[in-house]
Amino acid sequence: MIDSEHLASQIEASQDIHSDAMRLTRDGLREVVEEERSARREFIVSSARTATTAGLVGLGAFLASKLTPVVSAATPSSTVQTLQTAAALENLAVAVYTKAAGLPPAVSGADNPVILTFVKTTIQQHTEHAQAFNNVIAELGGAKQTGIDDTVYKAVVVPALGKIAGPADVVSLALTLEDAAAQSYIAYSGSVAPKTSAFKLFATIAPVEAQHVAILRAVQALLAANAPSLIALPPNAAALPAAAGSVGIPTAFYPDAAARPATEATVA
Amino acid sequence: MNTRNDMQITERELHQMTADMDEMHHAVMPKLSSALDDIAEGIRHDLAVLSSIVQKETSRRSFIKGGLVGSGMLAGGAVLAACGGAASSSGTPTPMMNGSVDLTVARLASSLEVLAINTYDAALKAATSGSLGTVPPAVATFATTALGHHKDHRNAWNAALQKAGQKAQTAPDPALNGMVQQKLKMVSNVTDVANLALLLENVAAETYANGAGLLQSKANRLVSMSIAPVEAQHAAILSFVLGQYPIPNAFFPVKDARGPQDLSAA
Repeated sequence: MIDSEHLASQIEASQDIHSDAMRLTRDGLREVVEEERSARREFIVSSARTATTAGLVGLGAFLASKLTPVVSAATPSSTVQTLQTAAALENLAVAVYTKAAGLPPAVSGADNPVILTFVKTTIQQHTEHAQAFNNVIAELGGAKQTGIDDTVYKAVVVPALGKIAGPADVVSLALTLEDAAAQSYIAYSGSVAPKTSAFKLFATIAPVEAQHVAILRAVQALLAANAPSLIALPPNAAALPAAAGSVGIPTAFYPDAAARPATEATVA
Repeated sequence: MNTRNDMQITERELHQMTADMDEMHHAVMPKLSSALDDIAEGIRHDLAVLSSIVQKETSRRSFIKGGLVGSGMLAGGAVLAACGGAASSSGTPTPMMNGSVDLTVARLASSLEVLAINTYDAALKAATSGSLGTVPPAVATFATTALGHHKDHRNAWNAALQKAGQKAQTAPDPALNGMVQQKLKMVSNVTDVANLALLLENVAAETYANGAGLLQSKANRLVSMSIAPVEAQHAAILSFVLGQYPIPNAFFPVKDARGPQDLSAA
């Protein structure tokens, strides 16, 4: 015979274990659930909205002809808004690199075949990033971001464009934009749930932007050292200055303090 | 070290670059320290909960054993076997610690960093001995800088492990170490070493990019996310030196990312 009192105690002990296990599971799933709720809210809100666009932003006539305008919105942060800002940063990068490619080669640095290849390849990569961000936005029911980050454009790009006199100026501007993108995506990864498409994009794009930064830093140093001939593939490794080996990798941990606000370039 | 410096960057430029690097380093370290505290706290919390469960599981098994033996139905040994094995005699919940994903990923990350450190150390010793031929100064500077980064990464993960009451990870990734040791025996020049380093940097970057999504703690994810780009930068510089296009992918791949199973490899 089974002692009914003992059996009751066993059941109680089993329930305790179950409760502890469920608490652990809940902790682990809480963020995923929050993300799902957020995504559902996004979908409902966006479905009820008529997408609007307003006001042209300028990067001169060139950009105005290619880009859809952007309005900064002060609505609550969400995955879609974060992705819209990310897409706007990518669109801005595409626009700036494209603008640079249209400058006289001696000014843009495109008279160097490696720099020319870098510009073309990087335009393509940023275009793919923007498309990927917009694809996820669409999956979440949001409005795609086809415009540029107007805040960065006005604060960073406009002043820099007016001062471009040579390749070093172009590199400096590109470096600023790439670094902002890398830092932003690291920071944004903390505001979206892991195992989501948004997180995976930030995790696989941030390293690529950081690679752009590393190469641009190295190029910048070689230009500053008046050694543009060393910007070559393959390089004359023996002739590279010692600092070329470290200038592109200044930190052990990539910072995110200069991340752009996640709601900086949302679409209403 | 057998190095040759054909061209010098100006002292002013180098000083400015160094100052910029120091500034960035100091800007990041306080944030990292705070993040590490969060990591340790998260792991401590996981372990406390897991320990509680294991203790209850042990009590439950003892209770069942005593109860059923007392009832005369079954021998206690048979019940323990049916429950999946005995708890350790010390009561230490070691097996259950594997349930902490963050703890496992932290140990995996540290093991990859140890492997990178050992490899760069070996390469620099080989360079110093002259067995790699002439080493360009930029390559030597890169190796020294990357080595320092990997030490910082290892120290960060190990500090988190130790703050959580765990032992530091001092052994290299067991799944990759054998291959690396074999390759190190065959390297005869800078290109060979750079290719090996490129392989390790890409694997590390992929592991961090992929592993970040496995981590349960937001703070842990951010640390992983702050390291992945740096390993990717190492890879880009190495690719450039090797004459390869340094940024071949629009999206950093994760197909060669290492997983927690590495830690159980022989």
